[in-house]
Amino acid sequence: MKKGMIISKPDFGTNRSSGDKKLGGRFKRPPKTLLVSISLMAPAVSIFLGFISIPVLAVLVTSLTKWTGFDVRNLDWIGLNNYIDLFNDKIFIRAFSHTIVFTLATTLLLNAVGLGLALLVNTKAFGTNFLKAVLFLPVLLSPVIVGLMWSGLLRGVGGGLNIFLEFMNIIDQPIFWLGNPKYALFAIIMATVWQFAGYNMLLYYAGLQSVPNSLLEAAELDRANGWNKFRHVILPALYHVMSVVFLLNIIGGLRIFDIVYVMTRGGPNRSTEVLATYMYEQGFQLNAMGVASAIAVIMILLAVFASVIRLRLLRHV
Amino acid sequence: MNRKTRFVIVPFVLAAISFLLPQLALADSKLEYWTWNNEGDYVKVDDSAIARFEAANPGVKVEVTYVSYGDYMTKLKAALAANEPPDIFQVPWNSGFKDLAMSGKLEPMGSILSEGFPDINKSALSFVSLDGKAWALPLDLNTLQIAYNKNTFEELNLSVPKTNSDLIATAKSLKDADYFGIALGTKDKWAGGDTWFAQLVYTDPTGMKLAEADSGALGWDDKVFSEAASQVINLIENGVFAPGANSMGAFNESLDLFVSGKAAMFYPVGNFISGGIDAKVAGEFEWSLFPFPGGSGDEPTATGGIARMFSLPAGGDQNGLAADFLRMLTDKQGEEVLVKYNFIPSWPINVPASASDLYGNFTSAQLNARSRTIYTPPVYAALLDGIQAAFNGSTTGEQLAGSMDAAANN
Repeated sequence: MKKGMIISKPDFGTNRSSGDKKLGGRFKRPPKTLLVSISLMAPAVSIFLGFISIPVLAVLVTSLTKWTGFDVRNLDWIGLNNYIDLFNDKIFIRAFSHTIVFTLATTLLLNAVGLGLALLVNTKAFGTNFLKAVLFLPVLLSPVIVGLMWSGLLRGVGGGLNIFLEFMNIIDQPIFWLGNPKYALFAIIMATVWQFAGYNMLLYYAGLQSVPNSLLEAAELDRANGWNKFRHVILPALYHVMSVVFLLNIIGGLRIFDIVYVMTRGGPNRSTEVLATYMYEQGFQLNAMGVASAIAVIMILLAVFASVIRLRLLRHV
Repeated sequence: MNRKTRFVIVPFVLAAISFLLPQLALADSKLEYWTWNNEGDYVKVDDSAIARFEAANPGVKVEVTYVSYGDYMTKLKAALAANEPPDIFQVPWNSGFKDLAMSGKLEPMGSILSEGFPDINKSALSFVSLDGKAWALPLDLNTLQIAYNKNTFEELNLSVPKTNSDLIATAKSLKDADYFGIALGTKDKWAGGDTWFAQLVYTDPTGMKLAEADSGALGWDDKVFSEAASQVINLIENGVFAPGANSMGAFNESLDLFVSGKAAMFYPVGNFISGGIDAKVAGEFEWSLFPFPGGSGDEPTATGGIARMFSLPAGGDQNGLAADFLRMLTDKQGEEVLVKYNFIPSWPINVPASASDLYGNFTSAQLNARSRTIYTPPVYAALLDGIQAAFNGSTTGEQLAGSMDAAANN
């Protein structure tokens, strides 16, 4: 850019002429334009209000009540008691910490595995197209099916993993993977990573297509090795994709339910209890809809917190 | 059209309309019926009652909606809260029934059950009664006992255990012969809880303390409750149960161990699952039942409760018709169908001479069966957690009872 060159800011209508001022501000548009604007916004706003804002508000209100869930006339207003009770509830604390552990572990593993697989299929070597399809297949399965498959694989007696380990002379007694608090959460994390790694792979693979070849070629000219190319060219180029993938994985982790419910029901002895399974138990087995709603609000706040962090990280990029 | 023709046609048309209107209204009538029993012989019981009801009420259709047990209360609650309940619905026997009965969404059944229904057993009626009112029709009863492989027992010269010491010795003999003891799946939690109810039969000979604690008159840390838990822990520590209970579902992995012959015993078994066991065993071996034993000198006694129960919506438009449908399930023909499929009606019956040995076993065990229900959901949840902890070796009887007491006081 030449020194002294002046680039004027584009005018998006913020610099009003004297003629504009006669309108008395942006809201004094011709009625026809206002009508069009409203009618264009209406579908999106209605959907947002109907399916997001109002239900979230209803959950928020319910979280301040004691309610069995049968009759809305029997709502008892108890203020913040549900929240206070939750933070004194050992099971909730365990569910909260398991959710955080699960979310962190799956997010890190899914991104590491997903990115690794994306780099692998991006080599365009023979068979990578087939590999791409195969690796994506588990994503298409319902988590319930995946949970049942892994439950079968991890069965103590007659489970595939134990049969293999016995065959390899690694164990002589069956291990009850899902019945032992030491292994159960780890087993669920593995099943989740197995299912969703292909999804991350696809997102990263799409991101890799946008890495400019010219940068890679320049790095090669500078005699950068593979690791340096990855670290200094590919990774920065994937920054936006990565932030979105991380956010999706974090939100997915925070609301994990089905695979946990199918594989362990949150047991044994709450060792795999997560917020969503505890919320389900409170709402539909213990008939404590107020407590369940308070848990839901906490889950929403966690997801919002993750989104804010992502936005703040991306602000300077 | 002249006046004479009009004079003939108009009354004719009016008569036709007055005849057709009720028919049309009836043709539109539909009874919505919700249940979670979509497999096994309960479907046959329902089908038989529906066929008879529809024949007796032309134009009224019974529309059955099956909702899986796991989702049932979720959907029923939503329907009740939205004031769009089904006309007849199955209600759960578990601890959630109390909240449901007290919700104001159920029709009191006392006056309905007094007309055209058999004399329901008092114990069954008390189970569905709260605040002096009955809130459901208890259709049939179950008993929970231990199933055992008769062939394996004969092969190893084992007799049916009468005490916990016998049970421990039996499990040891089975283990020495490379068989597992009792296959029990506590992943679903409730089945584990039943081991505690089974021991409570012996630690509380009065049979009153469960109800007393549920009503708040007695603490859950009472000795009878902690002793029952200690007995269960003692059995676990002595290898009575197949390993990995916490990783197995109540009726899948654990049942597989039994039907495959790897485990010689399986718990809990009632008439609701006997058909399923027969189908899976497919004649490979013979099996029978015995009540969960207790201490020496105790008479082996089964636990049990209501198997299926039905409620009607409070002030439901079709409660009259719905009650008629329930009468079809409980009248003489309904009773015959229940007995035919090995179900135990909740009223006194004459067991037919042609009934199977298993049915004889069910009905005799039912005579003194003891309750297996805690009405306070958090206490029940604490019990189930405690039993899972017991299977992981991380609790004592006192701790388990203490956690139940803490749950009650929260």
